[in-house]
Amino acid sequence: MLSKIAGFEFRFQLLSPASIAIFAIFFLLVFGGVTIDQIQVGGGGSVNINSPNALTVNILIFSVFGAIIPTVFLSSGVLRDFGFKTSELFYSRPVREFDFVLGRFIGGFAITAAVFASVPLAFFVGSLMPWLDPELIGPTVLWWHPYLFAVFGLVNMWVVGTILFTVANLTRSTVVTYSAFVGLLVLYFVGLGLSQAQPTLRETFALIDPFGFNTFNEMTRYWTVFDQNERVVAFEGVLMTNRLMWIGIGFALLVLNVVTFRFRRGGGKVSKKAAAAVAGPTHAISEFDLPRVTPRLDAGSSIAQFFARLSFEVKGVVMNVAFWILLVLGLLNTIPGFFLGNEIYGTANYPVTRIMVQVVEGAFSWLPFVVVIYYASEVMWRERRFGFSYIVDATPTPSWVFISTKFLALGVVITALITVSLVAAALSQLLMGFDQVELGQYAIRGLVGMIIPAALVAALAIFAQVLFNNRWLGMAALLVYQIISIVMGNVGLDHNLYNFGSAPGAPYSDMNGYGHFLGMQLWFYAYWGFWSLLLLTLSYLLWSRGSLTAILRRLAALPRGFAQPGTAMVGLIAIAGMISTGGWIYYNTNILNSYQSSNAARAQAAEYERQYLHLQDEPQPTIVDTAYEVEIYPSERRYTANGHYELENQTGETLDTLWISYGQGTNVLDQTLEGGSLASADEEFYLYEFTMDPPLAPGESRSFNFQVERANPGFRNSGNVTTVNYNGTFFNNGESMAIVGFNGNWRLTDRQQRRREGLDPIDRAFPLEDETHWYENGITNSHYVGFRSEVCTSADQTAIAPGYLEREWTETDDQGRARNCYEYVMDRTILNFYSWLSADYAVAERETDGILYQVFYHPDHAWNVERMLEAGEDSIGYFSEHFSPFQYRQYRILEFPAYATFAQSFPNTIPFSEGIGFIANLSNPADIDYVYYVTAHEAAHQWWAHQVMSANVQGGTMLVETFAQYSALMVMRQAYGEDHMRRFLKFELDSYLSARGSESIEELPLYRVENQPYVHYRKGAVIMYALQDYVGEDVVNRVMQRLIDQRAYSSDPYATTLDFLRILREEAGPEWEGVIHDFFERIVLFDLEASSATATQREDGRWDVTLEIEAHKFEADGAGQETEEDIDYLIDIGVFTENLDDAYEGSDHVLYMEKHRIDENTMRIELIVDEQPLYVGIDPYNKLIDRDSDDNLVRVQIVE
Amino acid sequence: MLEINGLTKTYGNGVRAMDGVTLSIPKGMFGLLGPNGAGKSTLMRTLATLQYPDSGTIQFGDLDPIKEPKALRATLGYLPQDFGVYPRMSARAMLDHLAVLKGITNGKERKQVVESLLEQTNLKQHANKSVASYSGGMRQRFGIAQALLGDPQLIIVDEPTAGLDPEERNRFHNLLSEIGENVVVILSTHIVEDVADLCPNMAIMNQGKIVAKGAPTDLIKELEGKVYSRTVAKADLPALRTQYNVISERLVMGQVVIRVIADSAPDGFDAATPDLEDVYFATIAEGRQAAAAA
Repeated sequence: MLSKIAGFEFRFQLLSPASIAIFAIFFLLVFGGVTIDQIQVGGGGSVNINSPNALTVNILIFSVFGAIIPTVFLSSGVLRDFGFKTSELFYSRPVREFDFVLGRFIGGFAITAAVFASVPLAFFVGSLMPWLDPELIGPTVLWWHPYLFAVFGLVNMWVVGTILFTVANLTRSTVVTYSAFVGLLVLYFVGLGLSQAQPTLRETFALIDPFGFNTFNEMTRYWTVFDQNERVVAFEGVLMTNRLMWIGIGFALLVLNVVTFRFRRGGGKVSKKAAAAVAGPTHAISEFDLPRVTPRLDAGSSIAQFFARLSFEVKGVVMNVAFWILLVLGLLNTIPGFFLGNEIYGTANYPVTRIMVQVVEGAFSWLPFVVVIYYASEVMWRERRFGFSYIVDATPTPSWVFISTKFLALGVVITALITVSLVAAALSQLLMGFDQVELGQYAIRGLVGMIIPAALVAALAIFAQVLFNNRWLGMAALLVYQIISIVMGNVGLDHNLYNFGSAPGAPYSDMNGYGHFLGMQLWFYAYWGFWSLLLLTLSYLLWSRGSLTAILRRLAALPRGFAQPGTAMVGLIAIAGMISTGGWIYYNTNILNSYQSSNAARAQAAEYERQYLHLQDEPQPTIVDTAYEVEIYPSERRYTANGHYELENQTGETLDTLWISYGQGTNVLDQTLEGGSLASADEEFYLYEFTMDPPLAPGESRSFNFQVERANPGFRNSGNVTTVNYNGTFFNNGESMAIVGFNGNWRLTDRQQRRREGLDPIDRAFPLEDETHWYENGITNSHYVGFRSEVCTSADQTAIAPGYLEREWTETDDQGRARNCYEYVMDRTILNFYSWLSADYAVAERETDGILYQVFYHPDHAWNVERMLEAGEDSIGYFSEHFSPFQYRQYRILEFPAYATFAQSFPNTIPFSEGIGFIANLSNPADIDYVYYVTAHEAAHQWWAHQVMSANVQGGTMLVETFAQYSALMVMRQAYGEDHMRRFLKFELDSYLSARGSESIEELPLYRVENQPYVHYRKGAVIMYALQDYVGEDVVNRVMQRLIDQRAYSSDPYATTLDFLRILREEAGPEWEGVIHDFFERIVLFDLEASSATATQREDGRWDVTLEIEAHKFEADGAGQETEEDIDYLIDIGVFTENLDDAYEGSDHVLYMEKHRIDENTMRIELIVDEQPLYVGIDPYNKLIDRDSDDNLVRVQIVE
Repeated sequence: MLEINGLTKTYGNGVRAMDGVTLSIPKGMFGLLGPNGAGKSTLMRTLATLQYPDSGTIQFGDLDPIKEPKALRATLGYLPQDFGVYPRMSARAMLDHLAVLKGITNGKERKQVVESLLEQTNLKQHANKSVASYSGGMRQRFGIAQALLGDPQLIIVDEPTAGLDPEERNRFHNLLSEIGENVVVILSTHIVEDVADLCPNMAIMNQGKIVAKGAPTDLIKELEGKVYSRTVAKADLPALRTQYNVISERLVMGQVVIRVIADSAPDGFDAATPDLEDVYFATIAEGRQAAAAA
């Protein structure tokens, strides 16, 4: 019997439209992901397209979204009988309950498994496609597919299946089952978000994650490219525990189903009816008096019907438990983010409204879409579902009343969902003691950013339901549509005018408010709003009122529908609105601005390179002096500049041609070369050729003057973040000022993109030993230049450029507007790289030792300004004392809008994003003070970059960024102590190890780093901290001093890491040769573990401590393949009275801390300490690059 | 009053639900009789503007329901064959809502109409209860109440008495006959008695075609002297079936009684008084024979 039922279930569903459709959809999704190289799931960089990592990630991702599969096949097996009202029939047959439940389950699960097999199958078939880049195809190992399918795919289907099967069996309700499905997903994404925000919870999540995603992430956290291509996660450890646990939970649920299932419960509804009212007149024949009221059918009655339907539809969705479940899910989805989201180095931000809305936006990135699709099918099929459609459809109420009120009911659901979360956000702000609640921002961003886009999707969803006449097809159509639009974006069909409901991004900034973005977005939403109006009009005309009617017949009736004057008018309004708003958008995006798809932009860049790459090596004059007059017009998002260059021929030969480039989008108004004339202009590439007549002799100088404008007319299809803003302008000279020679910024660097354009791959950096590039830097074509700039801005703003304020005055421009003008002059030469800023600033300042420290900030962001001043003082103080004198008299930090999150060091001028420190909440002393860190890091660049600049070869960014990290760490340690540094460096170590797997070409040793941030920032910080720990801070600082001595302001040559290593070796002496070699010239990793520790109190009251350690050392190659080698290192052994995770400087928790020689893989270390120890560890402060930094400490067992 | 001419409808699966249906229906009760699957509901839905015919015309007074469905809906009362209800909605609220949809937008009038209908259909004391909790008969009365909203001139009731107990059915017949005096009421059913009890005019539909139409008494008259019955043993049935034109077989007090049509009394058969059921069975049987011959 069991096998019969299971077999019936399997056959019944196998060839059903649902299983074929779902199989096809998943197959196409995976196949597309594998074979379309714009979409890479689990691959990318140098990870193979068919790597086991990509396969696993595909199976994992699609098993999460594939949770729909068991929802359909397992729960529907149960619910079907109720839906088709066959339950009583079925349940009265002589089938044992046990057989019935289990049979249904087994059959449903088998079909689920068969359908989900589409994922590995599509992956396998996809990876065989001939057009794939053969460099990214590894060997196919067949067993990976069934293994990963079983361990992740089948188990995940099992987990979801058993849960939903149980819910379906216990509740017998489709709505509740579907809610449970959405709920599972929401809870899951909340957990995923939490695990990313809270690294300490990672292990817990790895253990309990029902989908095994966190488990997989945890097991492969530090996997390199090599590992990702070659290894498949083994069924052991936490993965095995996790999987077995969930299999067990599934079995338990299944047992619960079998035990609780009773056929009788199928008759539950009947028993309710049995208690129904029984009534009637006592006499069968009686007089009947028909009420006579003649209905009115006019505009007034339509309006009354509209409101009656509206109230009815809204009640229909609101008076339903699913709606309330959804609101709760929405809250669950967002509330954790209010408290935990947006941390940087584990330190929270103040919950400013901007961040809170951002959290809600993030949490609702996909949920409204799912909700809208579901509810659209729900409201559109409600009458039919309750068997009431014929009665309602036969009333004389116009069709538009039904469709419009259904649409509005969807609007109510969306609005409620988002409003509830926004209100929760505001309450959370108050709960956190933060009272700057900006209700207006909640309202506007909630409406424009979330409610309107979802409402547009609602219109489309209703249209799809009408068009397809089938609930599931209508839902699937929207999913397919969504996928198509993602693919379209990826292949370059990215104009918002044909991607339904889309609009350019509109970031928010406290400084700049909505900026120019809000109006722009509203144009797009108006355009799509008119589209939606048309779709809704078509929806009511095409709607199958009464019986379902084939689409062709309904289409044929369209002209008659549009012949009605009211409908015709609405249709005309929609089309006229579409054309006019669309026209206005097109005018802005394609006429005022140039629209380029991403593919066209790529092709253009490739063309530039093909035509002009030869200019890169063409000898050109060098800029030696610069002067600018810059006019910033914030309210017009525009600036103009006059630039004056002094060009000098520093080559040994006579030059007769000057090439001048400008950044893309610059309006070049005028340019003149003293003793020369324009010979040719390529305006597509902003490239101009001047003939120098007479030619420029070696050593001779000539002036070049230009006038440019950066106008940002109207708005663009994308990339509307501009450097000039209503409040918060920040641009540098690379954007529009003249560049001598080839503009390297245009070059394509991504290897895959280059391959597609038929270009050879380019190296990320020139070889370290290539001396020809020691005489150039990696930032500009020039060396050190003089700089002065006049800059004017609007009367309410302050404008700043590098240099010292020479004079300040006000002007009136030709339109009668008052202007604030400033002149900044730099008193020594600087790199030819500088910025201009303008905003309505408040200023905090203090002067110490003749240096003026200033922070220019948005008046609402005063929280950490004093901290920045202190950090500036501490940093400049330390660096001046230990490295070299500060070359400027002023250190300025300037806030700019959160459209980008970085800080950047220009001479005496540091633009600093509002998003990374101005709003950090530093009130908890246990948190990492990254405001202090970033400020110190940028201060250090006044030395590393602005005093010592590196040559344009490998290792260049080590001298700039790694040294800035080192400098910042030293200042931080001085302020916060060793224990704080441990916490900070654990972040850095984790970032480094995690990022190795995303390496796109190869990892290089630190001294050859090729602008790889995870190496020069993250690894660099850990290495430099360890270096000073081994050889001594004073030794490292002496090396720094000597390097500055030798290379400060030197372009002949610039500094290289070879200079640094030479000086380091001299200063440190031969005893540190091994460490220096390992740290800088190789990729070395350790695996240090404190296995166990015991302590016994001695007679004299002191304690004997015994520590067992395990120590391994590996060398890795560029792909991450590791080779173990013998270990022989001095490594810290420490004994503590506290867990270091909770320790702070000055709490006297260190009983013992010495370096021991570790030269075997397992060792026993015996020590005597004065007090009772609690924790013992090897490399307890995580100074070395350790593959597992969490097992270095172990709790001491006290032995009597 | 209602002129139906040449309606045809073929479904996607090839079933011809209406095959040249032509009928002329006067005011008063009109019975449409036919077995399950005869196409009655398709015809009813087509008349109720819920479905378009492939071809053919309908004329109701001056109205063309195919071209102007809304105008017909304004004067239509429709009780579908099988209807459900919204959960948690009382009869009063539901009727009130439907009254608005029918165009009774004046609140006062609407209240009057709803209350009066609740009273007439004897639902008043349960008006605040959820319709979902009603018994079959009450639910059908609710159905007729909603069909009567807005003074309809054309009332279509599709299989209204299926599943009702005899008393409920009586009550329902009374309701229908009361309202059927001045308007067109089309009663579609497969229960012969419904038509026999109520309808001065009727038609029989089978396999999408109208196979008989007229007043029940006229139709019965045609069979006078042609119906004979006999009590038989079960074992003899197959032989008798081939020998005679058997129109019905039924059990009467545990014994098989068959009725046949013949011009003169066959051996062992007694003459029987024809009734509407004989008309119905005879007509359907003809259709079966025609189909078998074809």
